[in-house]
Amino acid sequence: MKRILFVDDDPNVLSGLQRMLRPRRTEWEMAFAPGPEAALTALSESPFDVIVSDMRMPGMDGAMLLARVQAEHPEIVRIVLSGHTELEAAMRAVPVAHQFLCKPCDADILKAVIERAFDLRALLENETVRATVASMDKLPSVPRLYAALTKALADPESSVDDIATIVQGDVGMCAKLLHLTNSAFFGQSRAVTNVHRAVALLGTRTVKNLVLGVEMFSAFPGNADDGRFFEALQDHALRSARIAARLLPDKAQSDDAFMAAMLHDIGQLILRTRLREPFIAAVAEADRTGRPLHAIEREACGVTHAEVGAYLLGLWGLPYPILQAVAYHHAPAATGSRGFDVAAAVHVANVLQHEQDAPRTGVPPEPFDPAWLAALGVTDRLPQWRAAAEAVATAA
Amino acid sequence: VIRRGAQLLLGAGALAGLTALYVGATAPDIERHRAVTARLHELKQVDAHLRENLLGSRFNLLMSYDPLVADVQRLRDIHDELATAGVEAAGHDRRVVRTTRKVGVMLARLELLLDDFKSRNAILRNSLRFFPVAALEVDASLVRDRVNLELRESLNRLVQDVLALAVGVDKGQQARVESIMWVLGAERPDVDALLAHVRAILEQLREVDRLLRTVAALPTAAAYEALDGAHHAVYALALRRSNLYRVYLYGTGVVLIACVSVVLLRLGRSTAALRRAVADLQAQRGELDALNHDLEGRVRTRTEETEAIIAALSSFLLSVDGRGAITHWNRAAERLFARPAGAVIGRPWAECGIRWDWDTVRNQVDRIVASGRWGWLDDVVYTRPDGTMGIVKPSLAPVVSPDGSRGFVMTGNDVTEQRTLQSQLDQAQRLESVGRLAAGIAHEINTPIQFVGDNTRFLKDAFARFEDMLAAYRRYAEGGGDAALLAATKRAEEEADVGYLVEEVPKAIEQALDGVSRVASIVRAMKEFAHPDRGDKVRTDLNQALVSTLTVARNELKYVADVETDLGDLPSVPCYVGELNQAFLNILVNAAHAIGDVVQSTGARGTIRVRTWRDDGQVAIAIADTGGGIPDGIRERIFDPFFTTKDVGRGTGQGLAIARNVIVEKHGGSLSFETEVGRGTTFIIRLPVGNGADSVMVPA
Repeated sequence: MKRILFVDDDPNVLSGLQRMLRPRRTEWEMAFAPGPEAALTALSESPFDVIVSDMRMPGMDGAMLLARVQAEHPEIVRIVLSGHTELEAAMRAVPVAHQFLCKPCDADILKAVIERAFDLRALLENETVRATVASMDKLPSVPRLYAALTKALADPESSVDDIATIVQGDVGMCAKLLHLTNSAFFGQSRAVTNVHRAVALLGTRTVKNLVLGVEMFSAFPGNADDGRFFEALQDHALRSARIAARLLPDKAQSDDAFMAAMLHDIGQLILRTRLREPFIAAVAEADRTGRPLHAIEREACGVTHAEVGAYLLGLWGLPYPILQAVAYHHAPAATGSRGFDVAAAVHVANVLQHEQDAPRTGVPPEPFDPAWLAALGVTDRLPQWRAAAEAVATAA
Repeated sequence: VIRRGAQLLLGAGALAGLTALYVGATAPDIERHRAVTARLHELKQVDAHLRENLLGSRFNLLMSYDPLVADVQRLRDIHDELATAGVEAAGHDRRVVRTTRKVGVMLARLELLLDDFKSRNAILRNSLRFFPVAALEVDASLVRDRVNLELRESLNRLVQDVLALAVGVDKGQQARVESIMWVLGAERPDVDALLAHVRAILEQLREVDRLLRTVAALPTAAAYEALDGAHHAVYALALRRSNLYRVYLYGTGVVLIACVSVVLLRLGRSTAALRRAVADLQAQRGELDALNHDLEGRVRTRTEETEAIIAALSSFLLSVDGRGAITHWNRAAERLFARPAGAVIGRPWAECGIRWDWDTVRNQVDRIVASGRWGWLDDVVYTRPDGTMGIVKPSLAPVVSPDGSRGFVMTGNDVTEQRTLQSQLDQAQRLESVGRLAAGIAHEINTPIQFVGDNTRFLKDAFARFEDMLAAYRRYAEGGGDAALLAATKRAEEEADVGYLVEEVPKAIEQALDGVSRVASIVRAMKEFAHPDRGDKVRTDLNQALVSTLTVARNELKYVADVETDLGDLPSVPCYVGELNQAFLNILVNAAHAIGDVVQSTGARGTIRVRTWRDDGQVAIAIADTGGGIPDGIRERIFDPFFTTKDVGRGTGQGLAIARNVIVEKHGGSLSFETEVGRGTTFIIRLPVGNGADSVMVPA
């Protein structure tokens, strides 16, 4: 049974939800707390999988409540359901909520968001790892980019494009930015995957507040080895993204592909910060043996960076094509897709980028799965893709 | 006069003081003092001489008493002199008088003693002269009677001893004389005369010696010394006093010299100033002559200038004399009212051709002219030359002509644009505060819509189930009591969760309706709150206005405070309700912020109390919070525009300034507050109820 806790200071809202969700009672076990204190009591008494909380409540507000939940029960998926529509409220919720929903919230959307939180669990069987990932409220950025961003934000001359260009180069910033812009606060009919559009949507002032006020972005605090690792990861992500964007002709798909490729190794960032020792050992072993990293991760950590990354992005409400592409970037065939979609493009871009790097790093790239290429009917496009990848490499 | 008298008195006093000082400073008469001292010296000498002579006369060295008498007389003379001239010289000093009198008494005593001495000494001398003669007679008789030698020797010894005693020698002679006298008296009866002499001599000797001793013991010397001392003391005192006065005199002299110097200096200065003033006066007189000369020309120029200025004014200006004829009509007036000056000057002003509501304008003009003071007319709508409507705001200055008739000068501008902007600005300000509340209001609307939607959704599902059940019932009804169909209805009920539905559907409907009415009430309150004020004040129920404002501000207040209302029975108040709503809102939001600052995130809540009551021709509204109060130092400044203690983004510092402007300036009310640090603040608004003659009743 999946357990959900609803918190709101208005009893009418709770009873409305209770009635509306009654048909789900066979799958969901729902509890309704009329305030933050009651919610904390309920949480201490029995385990929950998801919490849906109002923002503005007397005494302790929703952000404070969710911060405590984050600290005490990191495995619980935290969702905000607020009557506030202004950006400030979203900003306060960003650090603590996986998802933000606005009142009035369509019943189907509410159900879908909750369902999705449960579905995501299929990605990560290990509950400890799930809690670890769910407790991540921000992702580290490359110090160089972080410094460039703060400088650009302090400069009144900076344009939206200047800022978007910097954000686009950083995996952590991209993910966090999309986390915010894809929340219901912006009421976008279609998911936003283009960083320029996201920055324009938020406005530079909000981005500034995210960086300097809420400190949503932060420089990665590790040592020199970590620094090198992150730089290489960023570099690989950005190159792959540029390649992936060229593989799909449709503008929207191309945006999705760029972002998915940008974020495809985000799981490595998470593992490097949260499961540091086993992950570093796994990377070392992969370098030594030439075996694929995800295979060693599975043995050492029980999860792969693809699963971890997809899980976090899923919690953050990023659109499904990106999640899929991140989750299956090593095994595109597993998606069961019959067309050359975003996930396929990310897989191809990833392999091509590794191929380009192979002479330098000495790590052999994973070969393409001929059966999969044949199934999609794109075998003959391989040379074309390689040319595109070359073009990107020389352009950069 | 009083001042002159005081000055004279002061001068006279100063003169008298100076004279007194001068008199006091004169030295005592040294010659007189010397004379007294000489007399005293002589007195002592004569006294000594007298005593010497007294001894001499006792022991027969002095044959006559004349020197004694002369001495005594001299003493008496000196005393008399001292008693008169001396006492006078000492200024009748009490001690001098007393000692002088004591000397006089002493001298009288001396005179008496000397008289006694003289008589007794005469007897003694006599007896001593006759005693040897008597002794010789006795001796002769002894010889004659052949009395033994022994007796003769005794007699001889008696004579010798008595003479020795007479010169003051007594070495047992006195006793021997007594025994010899006794022997002689027993042996010879013819010695009685001799013995009587001896007895007299002995007695007088005793008396004279006693007198001499008494004189010697008389404390004349002490008396003289006392007198001398008294005189001396008087003189020394006089000397000291005169010295002191002299010092005073010198001091006064110095002060006087200083005063005189100052006076002289000022005199010199004022003389110089006077001289300059005279020179200036002469110069000014010269200038005045020149100015006078020039004045006419200037007046002409100035008149021309004034005409030019009036012509150049951007405001229209027209003046009307006491007979109501137009005397001035400047260029702006020509432009504004499309009438050339030439066509209107000299004509009655009512015929000047301005197209406005003449009755209203004339009424106001008459009122202001009658008041005799400058004043504004209310906005006047007029028709422009091009046929459009405009607003002018004229001001009027009554002018009294030399003949006493009353005219006026009217100036003004076309303020149409200003008025339009003003009303737009007022509306914009109110919209801004609505905008500030918009987020909160959205929350207030979104929340009920959430549960209205959820409940409706539930009702939709519920109705679908009821339909299923209904279908089952129908089948059962049509099937004529078939047991299988009955079981199917039971099953349908179970599937439909009918118990739950029956219980929850009414609640869901009720809550949905409740949500709808919540939304409706806030929408209505917003409409009322943002009520645009048109032109005149409108009689309004302020309780209703407060309720609307509280509803609009609910989201700002409810997380920090409970709102308690105690709304009394109020008469309707003529007001611009939209503006008052904004004033209430500003004060309420301030109250919420004040409480928010105190409770912060403690989970505690404050209270906002809104109370209204009727108070002596006024309506009073008190808005009290339980916030932190207003600190002493800023109480005077809270109504200043842009004064704020809030963080950037939370307040611009305009709230209370706007509230005050609305309440005081636009409604003639008052806005005051009572505050106690740590306890909270109460704002009290008072608005006049008015007589209502110039406004109409309209629901809020």
